[in-house]
Amino acid sequence: MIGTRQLMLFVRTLFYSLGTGALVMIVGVFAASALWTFHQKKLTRLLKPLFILSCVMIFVPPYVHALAWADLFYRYGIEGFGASLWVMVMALLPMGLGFSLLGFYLVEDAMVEAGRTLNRDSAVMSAIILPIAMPAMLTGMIFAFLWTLHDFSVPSLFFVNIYSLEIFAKYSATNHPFEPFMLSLPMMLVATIMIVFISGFTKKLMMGLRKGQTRDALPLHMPFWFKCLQTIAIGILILQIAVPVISLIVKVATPSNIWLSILQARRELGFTLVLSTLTATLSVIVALFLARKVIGMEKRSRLLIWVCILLPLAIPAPLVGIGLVTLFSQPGLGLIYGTIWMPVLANMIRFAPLAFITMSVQLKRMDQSLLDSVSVFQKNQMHGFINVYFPMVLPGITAAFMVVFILTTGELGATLLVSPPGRSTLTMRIYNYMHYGSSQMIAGLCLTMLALSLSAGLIVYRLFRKTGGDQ
Amino acid sequence: MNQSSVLLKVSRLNKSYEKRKILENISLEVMSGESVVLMGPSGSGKTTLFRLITGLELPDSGEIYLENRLVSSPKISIPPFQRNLGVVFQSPALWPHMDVLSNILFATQKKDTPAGIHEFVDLVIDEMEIRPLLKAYPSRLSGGEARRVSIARALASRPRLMLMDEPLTNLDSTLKDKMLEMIKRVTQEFETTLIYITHDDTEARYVSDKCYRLNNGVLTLESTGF
Repeated sequence: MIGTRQLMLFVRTLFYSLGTGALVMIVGVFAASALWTFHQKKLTRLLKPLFILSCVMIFVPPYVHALAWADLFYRYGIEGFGASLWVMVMALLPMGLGFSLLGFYLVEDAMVEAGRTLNRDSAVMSAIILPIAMPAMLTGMIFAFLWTLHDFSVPSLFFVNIYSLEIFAKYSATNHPFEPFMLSLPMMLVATIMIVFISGFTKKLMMGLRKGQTRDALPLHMPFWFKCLQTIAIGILILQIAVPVISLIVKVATPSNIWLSILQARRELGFTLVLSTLTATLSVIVALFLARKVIGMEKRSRLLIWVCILLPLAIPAPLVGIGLVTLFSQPGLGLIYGTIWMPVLANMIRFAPLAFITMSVQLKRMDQSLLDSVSVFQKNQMHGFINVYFPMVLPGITAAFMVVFILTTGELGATLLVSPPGRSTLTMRIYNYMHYGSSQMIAGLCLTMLALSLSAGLIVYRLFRKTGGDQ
Repeated sequence: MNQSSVLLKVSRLNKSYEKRKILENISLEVMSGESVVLMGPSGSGKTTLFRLITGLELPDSGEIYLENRLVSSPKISIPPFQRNLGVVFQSPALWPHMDVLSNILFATQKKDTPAGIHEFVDLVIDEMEIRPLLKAYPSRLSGGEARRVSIARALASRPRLMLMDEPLTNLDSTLKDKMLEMIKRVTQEFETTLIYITHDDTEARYVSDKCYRLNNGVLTLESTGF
C-alpha cells in the first residue's frame, strides 16, 4: 500500500520530528536549568518574566512563527527542512521549557542538598537532578515530536513535503478515505507507542507539582561550558519571543492596518469565535465528567482509561477530518454534515484530551479534606456544589476552556476538511493569504492572533498560580 | 586528631529571611568526638543553623570554622562537599533512580576520596545492617530501612562531623529507640563528632554529651553530660 517514495518520506518525517523534539528538549533543559541553578540571584527576577512569556507562547500557532521567520530566511537563502525545523523548534520551545522546569521542580530539595554535601555540583546535576527530571523532559520531547509529526502548516510554507501533508494530498486527489487511512497507519503506530510510553509518567508529573526550592539555597556552581550553553539557550528564548513580535509589528507598519485586516476578516473572526467557544465549552463538560469518573477508579483501570483518552492525540489531523467526513456523509447520519458541528467535533477529538489532563490535575490538587468537610456542613448537595465545589474547580475549568479555545482557533489540518461550505476560520484565512495574499494583511491578522493567544496564555498561567502551582 | 581540639567553631552568626531575624549572634564550639544536641521549638532557627554549617546557605554576618579553617562567612563559602561532613536530613532523601549501594557510593566518587574508603563503606554497611538491601531501590524500603541507608550514606565518606536534622521524624517509638541506639553505637565506633537536631527531649538525652537550646534565634547552653 505504501510505495518506496512514501516510505522514504515517512522516514524523513520521523527524523524531522525527532530532530525537532530533541532540539526542543535540549534548549528547554539548558534554559530551564538557568532559572533553577541561578536560584536566589537577582538574575532570577529578570529571567522569570521571560520564562512565563516564553511558556505562554505555546498558544501562538506555529504558522505565526513561520511568517515571522520567513523573510529572514528568504533573505539568507535558508529553506527546506532546516528552515521548517527551526520554526517548529521556536514554536514548540515552550513545551521543552515547561516540561524541563516541571522536571527540575519535581526533584526534592533534600535530594539535591544531600548530593551537594557529598559531591561536586556538576556531579549532582548529572547523577541526581537530570536522571530524576528526565521523565518530564522526555515527555516534553515526545509531545513536541507528536506535534511536529502531525503539523503540515509550517513545512508546506517552506515548500517541504512531509507525511501528514501526503495524507491530506492523497485524500484531496482521490476523495476516498481508504488510502489516506492506510497511509496514516505507520504514523499512528509510532504515535500510539509514544503515547503509551508517556501516559504513565505524564499523569504522575502533572500530579506531582509542588513548591520549588528552599528560598535561600545557594546557586549551583556549574562548569563554564554549561553556563555558556545556558546563556545560548536563554538567547534562543529571547529570539523565540522577539522575532514574531518585532517582525509582525514592522510588517503591519501602522495600527490602522491591524484594524483594517480585522475588518476585512470579520466574518472569519466571528466564525472562529463561535467555533472555539462551542468546542471549548463542550470539551470542558466532557473532560470534567471523565476526570471525575477516572479519579475514583482503581489504579490499573485508571491507567488504561488514561491511555485511551490520550490516544486521539495519535491521530493525524487530516485523518480526523477525513474520518468525520466519511462517517457523516453516510445515509442516515448526515444530520450534522456541512454544519458548524463538524469542525466542533473534529476539534473536540483533537483537543478534549488536553482539557481532560488539565481537569484531572485540578481535581487531584483539590484538598480532599475541604470536600469532606462540605459534605458534613452543606444544607444539601446543590448548596455544597455551588458554594464550595464549583469555586474550587473553576480555575481548572477556565484553564481547560482557554487551552481548547486557543488551540481550536489555530487548528488547520482537520478544520480545513470539515468546515461548512462558505465558512472559514481565521487560521484558514491566514493560511490562504500566506500563499496568495498581501503581507500587511497577514501580519495584521497574525498580530491579532498573537495578542489573543498571549492573553489567553497569561490567563491560564494566572489561574494555575492561584490554585497553588506557583512553578 | 586530638580528642579535645575544637572541630567546629561558630562565631557571632546572624541570619535573617526577608527582614525577619532567624539567628542572632550565635556562637558555638564543638570539640572533636563530642555529641551535641541542638534543641528548640519549631521555627526557632535550628534548621537554619544546620544549613549554614553544611554550607547550603550563607550567613548575613559571622563566621564558621571547621578545624580552624574558615569555611563560611558572608564572603567566603567552601562548597558543602569539601567540608567533609556527613549530613542526614529530616527526610531520608534517597535518590529514587539509584539502588541502595549506588546511593551510598555516590559520596565516594569524589576526586579526593581517601584510599581504603571501600573497606570502610563495607564496615558501615554491616554496622547499619543493610547488606541484604544493597540491590533494592528506595521505593521498596520501609521507613526504618530508608533512615538506616541515609545514615550509612552520610557515614560512607568517613566524615569528621555528622549533622543530623531531626532524622527520626515520623518513626514509631520502638523503631526510634532502635535507631537511637544504632546512631549512638556507630558514632562512637567510628569516632565521629555529632550534632543532632531535635525537639524531642528523649532523643536529646539519649545521644548527647551537651545540649544547647535555641529559642527565638538565641542559643543557650542548657546542660552538659546527660
